[in-house]
Amino acid sequence: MKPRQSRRALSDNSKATVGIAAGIFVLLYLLLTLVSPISATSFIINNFIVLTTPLAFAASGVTLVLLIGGFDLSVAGSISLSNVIAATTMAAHPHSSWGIACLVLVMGAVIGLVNGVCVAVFGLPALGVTLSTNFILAGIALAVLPAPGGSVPAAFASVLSGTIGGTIPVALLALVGFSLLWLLFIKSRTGMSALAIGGDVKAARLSGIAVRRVQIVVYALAGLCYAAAGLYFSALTATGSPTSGSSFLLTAFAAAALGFVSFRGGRGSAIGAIFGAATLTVIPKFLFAWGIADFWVGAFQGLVILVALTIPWLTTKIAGLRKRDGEEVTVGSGPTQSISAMAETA
Amino acid sequence: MQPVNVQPSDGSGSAVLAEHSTTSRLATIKTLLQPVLGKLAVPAVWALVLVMIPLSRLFSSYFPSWSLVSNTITLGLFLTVISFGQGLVILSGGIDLSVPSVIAVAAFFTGSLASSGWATIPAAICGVAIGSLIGLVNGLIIARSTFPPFIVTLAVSTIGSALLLGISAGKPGQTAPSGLSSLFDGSLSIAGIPFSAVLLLLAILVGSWIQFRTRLGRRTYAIGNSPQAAVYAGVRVRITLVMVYWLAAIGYGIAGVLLMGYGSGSDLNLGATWLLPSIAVVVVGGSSIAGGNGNYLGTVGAALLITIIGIDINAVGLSQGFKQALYGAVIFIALVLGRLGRGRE
Repeated sequence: MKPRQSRRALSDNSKATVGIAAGIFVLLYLLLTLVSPISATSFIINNFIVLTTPLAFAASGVTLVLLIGGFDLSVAGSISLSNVIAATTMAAHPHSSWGIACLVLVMGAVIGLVNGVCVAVFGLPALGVTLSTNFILAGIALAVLPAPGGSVPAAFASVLSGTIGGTIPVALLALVGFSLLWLLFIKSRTGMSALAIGGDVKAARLSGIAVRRVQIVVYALAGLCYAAAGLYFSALTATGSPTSGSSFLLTAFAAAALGFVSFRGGRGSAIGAIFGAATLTVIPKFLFAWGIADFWVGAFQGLVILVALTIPWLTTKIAGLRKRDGEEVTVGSGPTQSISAMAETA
Repeated sequence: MQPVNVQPSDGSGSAVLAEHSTTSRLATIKTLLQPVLGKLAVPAVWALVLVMIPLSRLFSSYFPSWSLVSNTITLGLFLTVISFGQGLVILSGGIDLSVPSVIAVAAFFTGSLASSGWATIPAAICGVAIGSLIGLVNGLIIARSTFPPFIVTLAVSTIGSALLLGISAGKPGQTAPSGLSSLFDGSLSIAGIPFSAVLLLLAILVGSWIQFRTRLGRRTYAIGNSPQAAVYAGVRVRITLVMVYWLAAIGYGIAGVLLMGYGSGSDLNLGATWLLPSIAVVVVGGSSIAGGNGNYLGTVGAALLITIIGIDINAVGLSQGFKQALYGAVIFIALVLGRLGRGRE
């Protein structure tokens, strides 16, 4: 009875935050269509979804690791490396681009696995490990492709950034499919364990959860997400750049924050992070529509991140208040009654 | 009744107090010694520096030479100054990703003020002060919130860089005032010692003094060990954190001004390559990346060591990518060694 109850409470909580994240995005996009009506055309909408997808995957990976109370800075290096490898090898073997894409995904998972083993088995600090793997991966990317170049076959790029029958964007299908996979994952034993670890590692270990195994799986899945982000970024730009991932470090965490993912573990959803990524992609469009110079986008993104950081903090505060109220009603009814009775007798 | 009652309680009380003070004194001595002397990392790093100078023969037949030593001192100076700030932040339990933007902002304003007619020293002081604002904002946000330092420093420095890009639009490059360039062209020396070596010694003295001898330094150790315990011990955590991030940024700013003098000018990417080495140096110098444990002398040794390795890599002609991957690997190895060291204790 009890675990089911807590499970429902968890999913209710994440449903609400995902709803708010989605609401913010939809509101902003509707406002954008008022500022520039062209944004409502299906062509622009498809472009927008394609533009959001790499960040959405990156933010989902970051969210996975944040859920278990860790930090993963290897997101930037992983995206750079998968972009560079896709752009160089696909150019050389254009007919096996889908096979190469699969290999890149496997590579991403292996990188995540290494991170996970270092953190979970060797007990190294997550920030330090992922910082060093980030630099190593970025360095390898720079060694493989010292200057922007390479290319992605049009056949590969056009499938990922195109539409099915001219109406349904493939990127949207990818995101919806990914969200369904996420729901399956978070309802699974490993997913529930990940949430428990993020909530309280010691309690999770004491209640018999294989903490190390779950941590390793989560880091590996995060690596898979970064590789997917890198592949989608390759399809989007149709070229390779050794520093392509560096801008994702800030934005991926910002998208997670805008998706109401807690930075202290145990709370959050990749679906929220996807909407966070969409919100973060809408904002520069506003600046562009208003004719604000390009370089202010950076300043604005930084500001948005600082504001976004306060959102999870505010929600936990509000949720905490609400929770305390709820406890008083159900559990605390006895003592409060007796206190009020005492007051009456006095 | 009363005197009988008071006496034993008084006596036992003072006995307990005395016992408590001796154990706590032992504990404080231990906690003071551990970061300063406890680790083998500091002598090991300095030994490696001495070994690497003759070993650089393996990388180039022109090494070892006096120019290698003087280049190590000059380039090591920048890393020593930068890693003082990074080390202090890491000691407090944080991490500072705003290094590149502070360097760029400080150098840009120094150059632009100097070119608009200011004397070199006021321009440099003003440039460093403007750059250090980034650190001040970092500190204020981190002290008042529970946000992770890495993302706060990243966000604030992104804003800083974007503002700099906006302000400098059309004229990003600055030439160094002649007073700054002369620091490194070999024309200045004190008692036959090249000026960069004098600056290096000065940096080591000031850095060690701040970290070991000032109240701020000791409080930073306390916060890094346990913010909660520091609060109970009466440390004003918020003010200290603000000071730590501000002081760190002042360090980066000074390094930015020096770098500008070394390169006779600056652009907006002046600081881009210094973030990685600054973190690597702190970790290699024996500091715990989780905070609370570190020694500036180890950091200085690691700065010289990494500088020699960097010069060797350049002499072999390996690409920037290899250099970056190597820095990452060095951080990783230092993490593993640090973990092993703690495991053995």
